[in-house]
Amino acid sequence: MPAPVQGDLRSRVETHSSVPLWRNIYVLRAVTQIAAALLIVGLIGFLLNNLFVNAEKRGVDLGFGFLSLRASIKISNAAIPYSPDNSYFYAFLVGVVHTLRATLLGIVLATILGVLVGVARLSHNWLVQKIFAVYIGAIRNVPLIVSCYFFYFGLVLRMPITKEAVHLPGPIFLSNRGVYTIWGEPTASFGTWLLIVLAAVIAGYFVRRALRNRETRTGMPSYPNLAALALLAVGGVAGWLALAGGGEPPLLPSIPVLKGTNFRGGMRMTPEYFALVACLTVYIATYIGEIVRGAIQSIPRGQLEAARAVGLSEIHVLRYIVIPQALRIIVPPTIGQYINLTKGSSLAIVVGYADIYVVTRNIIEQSGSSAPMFLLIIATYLLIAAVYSLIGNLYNRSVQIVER
Amino acid sequence: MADRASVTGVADVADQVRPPVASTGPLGWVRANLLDTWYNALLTLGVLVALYYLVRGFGGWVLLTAEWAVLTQNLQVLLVGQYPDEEIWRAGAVMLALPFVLGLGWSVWPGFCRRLAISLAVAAPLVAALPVEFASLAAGFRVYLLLNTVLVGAGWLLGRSTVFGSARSVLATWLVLFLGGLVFLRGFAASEALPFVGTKQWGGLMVTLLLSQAGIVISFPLGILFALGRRSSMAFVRVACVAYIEVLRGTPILALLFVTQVLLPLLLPDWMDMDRLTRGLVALILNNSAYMAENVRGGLQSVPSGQLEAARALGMRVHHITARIVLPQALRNVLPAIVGQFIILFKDTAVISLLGLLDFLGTANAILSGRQQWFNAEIEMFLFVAAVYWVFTYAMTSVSRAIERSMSKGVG
Repeated sequence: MPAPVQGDLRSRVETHSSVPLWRNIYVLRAVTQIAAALLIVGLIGFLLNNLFVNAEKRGVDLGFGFLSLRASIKISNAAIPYSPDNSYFYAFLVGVVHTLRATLLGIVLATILGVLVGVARLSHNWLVQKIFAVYIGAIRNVPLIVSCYFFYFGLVLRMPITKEAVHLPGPIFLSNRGVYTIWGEPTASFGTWLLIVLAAVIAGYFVRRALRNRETRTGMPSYPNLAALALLAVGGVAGWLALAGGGEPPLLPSIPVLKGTNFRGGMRMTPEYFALVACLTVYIATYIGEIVRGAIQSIPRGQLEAARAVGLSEIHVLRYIVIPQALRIIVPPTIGQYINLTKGSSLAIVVGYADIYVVTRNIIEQSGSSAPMFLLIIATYLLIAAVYSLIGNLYNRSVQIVER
Repeated sequence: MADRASVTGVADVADQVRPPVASTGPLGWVRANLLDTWYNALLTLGVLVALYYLVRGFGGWVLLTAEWAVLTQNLQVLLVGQYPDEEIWRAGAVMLALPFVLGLGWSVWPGFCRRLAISLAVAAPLVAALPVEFASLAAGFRVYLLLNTVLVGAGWLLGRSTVFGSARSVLATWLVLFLGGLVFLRGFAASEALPFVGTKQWGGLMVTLLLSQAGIVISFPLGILFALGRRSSMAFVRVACVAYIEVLRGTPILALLFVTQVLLPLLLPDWMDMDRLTRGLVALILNNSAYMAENVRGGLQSVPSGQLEAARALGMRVHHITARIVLPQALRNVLPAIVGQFIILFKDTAVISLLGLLDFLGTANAILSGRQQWFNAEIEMFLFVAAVYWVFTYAMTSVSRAIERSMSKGVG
């Protein structure tokens, strides 16, 4: 291609300044943006207009006023005191508490099981490795809702009646009325004991910090974590013994005992609660397991070899080399899985557990106010997800590399 | 000290050192992978004992105790729902599009589809040879299964020897067969040959497969649009896309399904009213296009800005740059994530059964609660349902993995 001649170039520059209006990039952008804005506003306006027109036509109330009315819906096994005389809003809150109760327990259990699965997948034992690979492949490739149906109708509801309950060590009793476990019954001195434990925690925090400072300053090993834990243990045990000596211990064991056709004492998990938590745990643990495995595998072998070469023990390799680096990779996707677990908990309806969704549906059927309830339920789920993200991001910041 | 002493006589050392433990061959493998330490040996033993009881118990149940009649008696309903008996050939014909397209895909992307296509071609006659009675489906069903094998082969041959053998034509064939299939299934009110069959009568695995395909066809391009919108320099478009993506991603699919069932009739004018199945599809699309947008956005971010600048320097127009430079690279980079999203969409379709719609899971539930005879067949039924979902998901996962592997090798 011949090089452009000077004059040629100038003429081009000149034509540039006289770009017609319909080809001027700034005009085009402004026009597109206004058109897009009009389109979006128009669409929303169209939908809202329809909503108002149709609501009027069908006599549907779009306000939030009904929330303070008497709910008159039933919620069985409510976790906080509830009666149909309470308001709709309070009924909704019961649903929120139920969702939180199931998801928080699910998160704790799924994390424990997930870490176990991730580590087992890296086991030197071929058989263990493969069994967990089969577990992950079997659970992940089946919709959670199908697993819920299978687990609840196929297994949980077919557990033996209370008289023939499966007796596991603990004692834990499995029956079709639910799962019964040993539980601590708080006595009058429980509050005092909690205060003592709290004091031990605070003292432990300061002792840990002091010892840590000493360690960084002098280089002498001072075991800050160990000392703090020891302080907590000593405080807890000593407080317990002192209170038990002065009257009754802070917690009395309450053991489930079969009386007639039902268990008395202990803690009962309803079959629904148990089935939901178990399904969510088993499902999400497969995802967390794969995250953990990937994170551990991503640590270069050279790091481990170098750590062993400088004489770190296996525990120290884990504590100072593997875990800090793996956590950086594990935390962000795991938060995503916690949010997935929360969203998955809406399948509670399969097992008949009264979570946000079930309560919302009942409220809508009772009151007919669908649109406000939808806004409320979506906002609640978004809020829960946002809180998880916030906590997760704060924790994530503490495990990431501090760049100078 | 001991070391120095032993150096004096080489023969002594030779006597003391035992021959090395075998580390090759089957025995060596067992030693290295199952028995390398005492606790691993213990673990292996424990796992073997547990496995023995599990296999014995489960195997015994499958072969002796389980009542599989609930499946064989209801197979037709599980596959196509209440689609009328005399029109069932239409449902069968439409579902044959999948093996045909798979055969075509085999000829174009042998690395990704060969194993899947061959597995289907082999599995179909094996199922046909199963010594069970397929109740109402009778002998025709066995022939139908064999047709699957024939069509995989036909697709493959056609793809290899004619113009059909290009990526674009495979996708076009699939789209045409799918959309045509929908019309074919629905029929026309005035037609003699193809009488109208409403979606209320559709059901079973057919609905699950149709819903997933429709979801993919619509939510994929929508996802691309929202991803582009989220990266747009126009503030209004960007904010709107971010709001759409974040709200719909944070809402459980079940809540969305409920919203569309109840709220769509209120949000749309009467003339835009749709049937319940379509409303369910809208929820699936709303949810999945938001996720898809995030996957595509990841791909867009992976395209180096030099590519854009080079395209601009060459004087390409904006839409050409997006369509021919940015998107092809972006989509290729996140192909496994996109297939992963298709898998999630497929699994999510099962949730619509909770709204009383008769997809595969919904049909299974309807059978279980329909007749007293089947009240106790939950385990058999849900195991079968889980197995079918598993097969489809596993097939897609294996394709996704093949794509991932080829990408890490650097082969397009």
